[in-house]
Amino acid sequence: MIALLLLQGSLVLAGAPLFAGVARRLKSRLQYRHGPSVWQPYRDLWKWWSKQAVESDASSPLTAAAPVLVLATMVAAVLMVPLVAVDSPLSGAADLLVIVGLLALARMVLVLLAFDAGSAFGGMGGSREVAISALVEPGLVLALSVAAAAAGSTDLSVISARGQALGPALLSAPMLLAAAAFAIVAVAETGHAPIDNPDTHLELTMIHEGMLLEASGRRLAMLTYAGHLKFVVVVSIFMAVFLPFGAAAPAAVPGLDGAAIDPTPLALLIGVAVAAVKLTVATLAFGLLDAGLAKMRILVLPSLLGLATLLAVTAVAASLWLPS
Amino acid sequence: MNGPGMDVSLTVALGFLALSAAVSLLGPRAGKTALALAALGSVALAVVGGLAAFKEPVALHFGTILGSLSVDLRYDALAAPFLIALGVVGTAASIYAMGHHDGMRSRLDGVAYPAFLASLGLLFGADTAFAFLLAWEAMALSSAALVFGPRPGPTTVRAGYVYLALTHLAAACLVAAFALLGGAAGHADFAAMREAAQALDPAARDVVFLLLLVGFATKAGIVPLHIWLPRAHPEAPSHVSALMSGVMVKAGIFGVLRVVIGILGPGPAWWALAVIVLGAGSAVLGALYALVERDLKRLLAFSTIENVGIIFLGLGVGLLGATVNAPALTTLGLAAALVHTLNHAAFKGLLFLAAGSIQSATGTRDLDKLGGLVRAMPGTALLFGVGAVALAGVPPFSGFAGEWLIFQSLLTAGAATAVDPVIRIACLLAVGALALSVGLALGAIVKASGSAFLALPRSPRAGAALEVGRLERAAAALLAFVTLGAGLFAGPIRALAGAIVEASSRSTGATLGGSAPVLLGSYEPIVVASLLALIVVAAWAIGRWRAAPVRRAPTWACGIAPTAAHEYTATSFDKPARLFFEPILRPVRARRVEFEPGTPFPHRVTYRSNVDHLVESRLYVPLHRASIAFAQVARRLQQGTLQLYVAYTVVALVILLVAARP
Repeated sequence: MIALLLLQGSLVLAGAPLFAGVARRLKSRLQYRHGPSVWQPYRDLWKWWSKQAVESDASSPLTAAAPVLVLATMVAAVLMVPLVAVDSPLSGAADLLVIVGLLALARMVLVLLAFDAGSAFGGMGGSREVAISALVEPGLVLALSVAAAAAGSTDLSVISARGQALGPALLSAPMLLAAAAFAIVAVAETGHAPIDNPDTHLELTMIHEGMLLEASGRRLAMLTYAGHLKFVVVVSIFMAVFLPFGAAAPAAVPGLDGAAIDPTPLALLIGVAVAAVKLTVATLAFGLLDAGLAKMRILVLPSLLGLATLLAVTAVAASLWLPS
Repeated sequence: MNGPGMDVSLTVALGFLALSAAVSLLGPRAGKTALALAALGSVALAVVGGLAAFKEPVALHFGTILGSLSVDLRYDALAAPFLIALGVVGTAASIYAMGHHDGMRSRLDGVAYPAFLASLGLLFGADTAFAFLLAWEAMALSSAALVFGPRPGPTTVRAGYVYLALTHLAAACLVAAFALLGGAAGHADFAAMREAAQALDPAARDVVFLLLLVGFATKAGIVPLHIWLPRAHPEAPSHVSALMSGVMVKAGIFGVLRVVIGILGPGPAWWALAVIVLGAGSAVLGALYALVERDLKRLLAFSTIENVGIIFLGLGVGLLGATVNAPALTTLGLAAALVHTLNHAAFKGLLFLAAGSIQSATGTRDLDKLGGLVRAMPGTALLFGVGAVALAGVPPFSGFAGEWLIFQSLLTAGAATAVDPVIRIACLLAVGALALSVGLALGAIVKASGSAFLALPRSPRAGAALEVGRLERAAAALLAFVTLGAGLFAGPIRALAGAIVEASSRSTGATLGGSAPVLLGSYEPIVVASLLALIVVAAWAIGRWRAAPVRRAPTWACGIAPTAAHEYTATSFDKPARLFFEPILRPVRARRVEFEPGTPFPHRVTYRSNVDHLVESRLYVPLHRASIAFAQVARRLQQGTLQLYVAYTVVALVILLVAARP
């Protein structure tokens, strides 16, 4: 478990910004631009890290505390999702509802931060974030509930292990519907087109970036980095629930009936490679969305997110047909 | 040492409360002493609750009226969580009142307040229908007296009358239900009723169930019977609001547990379905109205409706488990309901006390006129923040612990093969409704805390606010500690709640519970909290390491000096939600621009926006019109002549004699 903790933790913490770089690069290429290097997110983070922070004289100590809290929440979530292995590094301490709750905690702190400087843009971003995430929540939780009810557990490790054992049979109709619902809400959660624009420069259209508008220096670096980590967390949940294949399974001990030990180093190595591939594919998908779709008008978002909820509801009804 | 502890502490509690009422009659200067005595009485009530949780129940006989109407009390394990909630919130509320100018407004308050506490304490121990109804009515009247206060304004009077009307609708339903049960039993004590209830024919049981459901759902503030709650709670002084929202609405929950589940027992599956549907509807609508509300205390009251709805989801799963004879499911659902009941009592009490502090510091509850209070009132801000994270339902805080258990129970019911498929779908859809309501509630409390405490003050009075006194902060701090503890020690608390459900089903001989709850997933709040704390400390240290000092500068407002007018107000904050949920909320906006005569320059813009409360405009307004129309017709019977009234009486007598002939 400790080995897995260190492995998954260090790899995700080191690699998360890279995916943002890849997505941005893909987007620029598709727009016939050369675009920045895939390492640009690291350079941005380093640049902000070295700069002095400026805060509003209307702000409270929350402005200093919020980036640390948001980052800590995301790091904790990274350690609670199964990514490299079927087991999450902290399985047994938190199930998928706790991880969804941690994402909500980060959002709560972020929206409060958006209030703190007294700028209208922060409030605008925060108000949209709150309304959109309220619509995201039912689709997200229902989609995961389909899998949880089928697996008889809300622990991601158990869901993931069952999925791996089932093989392709996991992808039954209800699970596919749930996966589609989750994919839509994942776009909203990670702030990609057509719901939000991660590279936006126009305050009036900002959602996530609007809340970071008053942050600077190391605080901005922490918040942006937390955003990179959130992408990995959301994709990891999707992969653990709907595509757990390739993740390192606990090795069964011969002789000891049913007892399991940590995965073998080889399995872990394969797990790391498979996780990298999965994250890259997801990154490319989001990059395609960013390049190919315009941001939707905010007032039509309820139809898109309602579609996710409807898909999840259909998945719930269809799951009764699953053999139990 | 099994018995004596409990009756002694109950006597001590009632003694303190009676003394408090007596002392308060001495006049306004004795107010603080009276409230201190009420605080002591509350502590003693909490002790009774603690003893009830761990000891065998004790029966106490108070007296008999008219032969069969006896007042018997029996504090068993089921009463324990409710008594503890009452004791803890009561203690904090009394201490708060000692420091608050509205703490004791008149002698009426001085009598009504301890009577309110005592009636709740007696209600949770009632063992006969008569005792239950007596305590129920005393609770309703004493709280109504506290809502009205000595000099009620027109809003308060309206709120008070709506409250009285609905609370009596509830009482009438309960009297009818108990009459049906007692009539079958021939006796009004709960044990006899329990036996008789099993022998009733199914149709009669359905009628009793519906009567009880309407009665208890009204008191709990379940939509569509909730309309009194957002009116009455904000009008009461804040410490009374804390008790009403934290404890009194839980009397409805207690009633469902004690009477519906404990006496009437399991019924057909549609009973459970009805409770789940009511719960899901209340959770979503309560949270939605909380999100678009700009009066701070009304916002908290709507959030109470949401949380009571969430508790109802747990009760529904408990009933469902009893129906399909799955004891583990019953225990899980009821334990989840108990845990959320306790947690909500503490954090909602805390938030109402903190909201009262805001109101007394600024003179307003309008979120659009607040702002920047964190600088003037850092203590209150911190305490409100503790309540806010609990209400928002985020780990590792207490609101999440309860909601997590409700999620678990709904998912368990949704995955249970013994359950009818339609009801399984309903349970899973309730998971979605719960998720939606949790998301909306997070938005509501973020809006409240952000617009009250952060950024620049939006009115001169908010700018001139001063921190409230020590007693008020200490009272809120007590509840803040309980809230934080309940979040961290959610594991032992849920085990205890499971044990309480088992113990109470054993002691009442009810046919449910009796098996430890099985959880679908794991949640160890201590691990999560320490992990978070560890990373926070590490990230903080790294962030401080060789960092350049922070520079403070005005917020960029496109080149002009930023003022409070640039800020997002609470009303602007919930605009996206108002638009997203337009079919339900039906927002109305009225904008009027007056121009400088002869110029194109506006000199005055007024803007008003409002949301429609669908239940009121579609259900209560037509009902109100219909009853007025009926009264117009019925008044023709009133001719004012004595002979006619005698004739009516004779006709009624004859009809009764014929109808009830042997």
